[in-house]
Amino acid sequence: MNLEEQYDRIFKYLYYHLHDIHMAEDLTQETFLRFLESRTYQDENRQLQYLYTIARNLCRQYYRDKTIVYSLDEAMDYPLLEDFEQTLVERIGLIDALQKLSHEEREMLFLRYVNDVPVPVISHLYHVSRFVVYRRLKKILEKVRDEMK
Amino acid sequence: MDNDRIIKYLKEVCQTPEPENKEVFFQRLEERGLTSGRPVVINHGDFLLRQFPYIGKWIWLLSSFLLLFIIGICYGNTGNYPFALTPLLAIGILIETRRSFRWKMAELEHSARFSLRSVMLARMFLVGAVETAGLLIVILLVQPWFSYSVIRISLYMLVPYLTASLVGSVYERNNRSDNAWGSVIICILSSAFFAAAPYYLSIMYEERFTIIWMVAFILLVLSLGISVRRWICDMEGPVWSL
Amino acid sequence: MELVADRITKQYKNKIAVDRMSFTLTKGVTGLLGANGAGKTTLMRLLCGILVPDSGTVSCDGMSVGTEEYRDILGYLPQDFGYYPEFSGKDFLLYMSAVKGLTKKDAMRKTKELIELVGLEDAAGKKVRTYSGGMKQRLGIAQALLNDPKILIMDEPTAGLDPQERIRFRELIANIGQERIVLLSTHIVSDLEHIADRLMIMKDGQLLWNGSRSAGGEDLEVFYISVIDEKR
Repeated sequence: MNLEEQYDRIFKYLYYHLHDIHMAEDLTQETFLRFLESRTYQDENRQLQYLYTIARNLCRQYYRDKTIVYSLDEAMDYPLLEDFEQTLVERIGLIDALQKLSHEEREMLFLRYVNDVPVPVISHLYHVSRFVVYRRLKKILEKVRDEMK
Repeated sequence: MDNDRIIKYLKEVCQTPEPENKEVFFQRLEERGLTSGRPVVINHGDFLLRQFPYIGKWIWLLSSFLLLFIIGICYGNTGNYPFALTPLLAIGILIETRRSFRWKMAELEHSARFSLRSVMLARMFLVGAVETAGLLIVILLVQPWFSYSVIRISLYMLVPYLTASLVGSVYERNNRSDNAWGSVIICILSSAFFAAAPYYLSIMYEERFTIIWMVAFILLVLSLGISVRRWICDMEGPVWSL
Repeated sequence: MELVADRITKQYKNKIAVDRMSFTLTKGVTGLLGANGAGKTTLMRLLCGILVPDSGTVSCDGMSVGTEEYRDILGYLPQDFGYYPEFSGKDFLLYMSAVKGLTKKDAMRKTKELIELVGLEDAAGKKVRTYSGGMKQRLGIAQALLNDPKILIMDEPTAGLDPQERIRFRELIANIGQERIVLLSTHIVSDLEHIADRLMIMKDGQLLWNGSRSAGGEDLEVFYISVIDEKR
């Protein structure tokens, strides 16, 4: 496992939850310290799963059930790409659609598609089977798509 | 809009600032020697292999003896009752599951990483796998002496074996604190039942009923799976009586 | 590191063995005092995930009891334990290493290290059934430490130890207790006099008192009796 690459991902995951760059980095480092101080696994997915488990627990410890809301301003900060008008509208649509998802649905979407966490790892994090993860991700994407129509 | 586009936007929306102290952090980790040489947890395959030498030697002796005995009985004896000996093979597995409780290791195993459940499952799996493999070899050896196909002999051998395992597992789940004779008796009764079956139900061993044996086999495998799962998940009762 | 028990209750048949207990354990040695039958063993089994509470939760830094991650950092010495009959002391430790998921190499190294730590060098190759009570207890302490636990739970660890072994055990706990959460139960008050940083006093499944050792004053025995009496 490439630790430095995972550092960025875990940071991203924590930033997504905390929206505070310093707190996110502090907890990222705490996550890695705990991860490195404990025994490791031969299997890379197990390592990843443990890493996310620690990060998630630390996050819960600091901010119990804080729900994440993306503000519109932030979304507009991002570099705008080609066909400006359309992407902007679509992106705002996506943000609205994301708001309508449950906390868990949003996190699952984030883990799978933003952080590229493998499905077996997600299935362990949520204590459900891989099949359920596939089905739920599909459903969530459908929900987002319907919302954005 | 298609999924790829949604995912692309999602990635954009979730863009984050760069972490600031990453390099310093990793430098310090290296200085403290934390990034290399960490102890490793073994995986399930290794765990299974490591459990192997701890299985009671008497089980292997009993199993080998029974398997040889089956070959001996089958030699020049093509009746249907030699098949009834297989339930006795299940005695080993059933008694082996009591080992942790009998020797008061259950609590220690329960609090260890691979827990009592893994220990018991590993034992059942190892003994079950070796016995089944042995039985399959025996089946191939004795098949030429019978007029039945390999599949039919396999069914006639495995169904009694699984029956005893299933009944025994249900019994063990509910009577763990009693002594082990219950399981021994269950295996002997199953054996007796299948030994008597050719006399009362010889029709069952005709080729056209193979499908029924097949169905019985599948049902037994499924019920045994469910029974073992329930057995393994309920470790509370026996712990109280420790 | 924080081990948090939140309103845990465990009932057995008609008896409430642990009754809505809440507490937080941090680094250092906590002594759990109580008469026989006060619910100490049940509480410890709940903290180890051997029993599941009827209600309430136990977790350490967000890791819930009963998960692999939790058990990975847990070391437990039960009040009474056995061994497979063919085991020597060394076999016993190697077996427990395997169940705890240590690689063969780590298992050999830790086993050797711990045999020295508990002073069983001469007896390591002998069958456990030839051990004295104190030797077996030291073996139990060694197995609890195999996985370098961050949470160490010991049920009556000094039972069966002779006075010299007791002193040795105290030193051992004083050494390893600084960096871990250690909870040890006893009904012998003097066992805790020198090693516990904190005290918990239990009676009939309830927590009567929970605080620092120093609050107990000079004579722990007197303090213990006064707490027990007060609530009567």
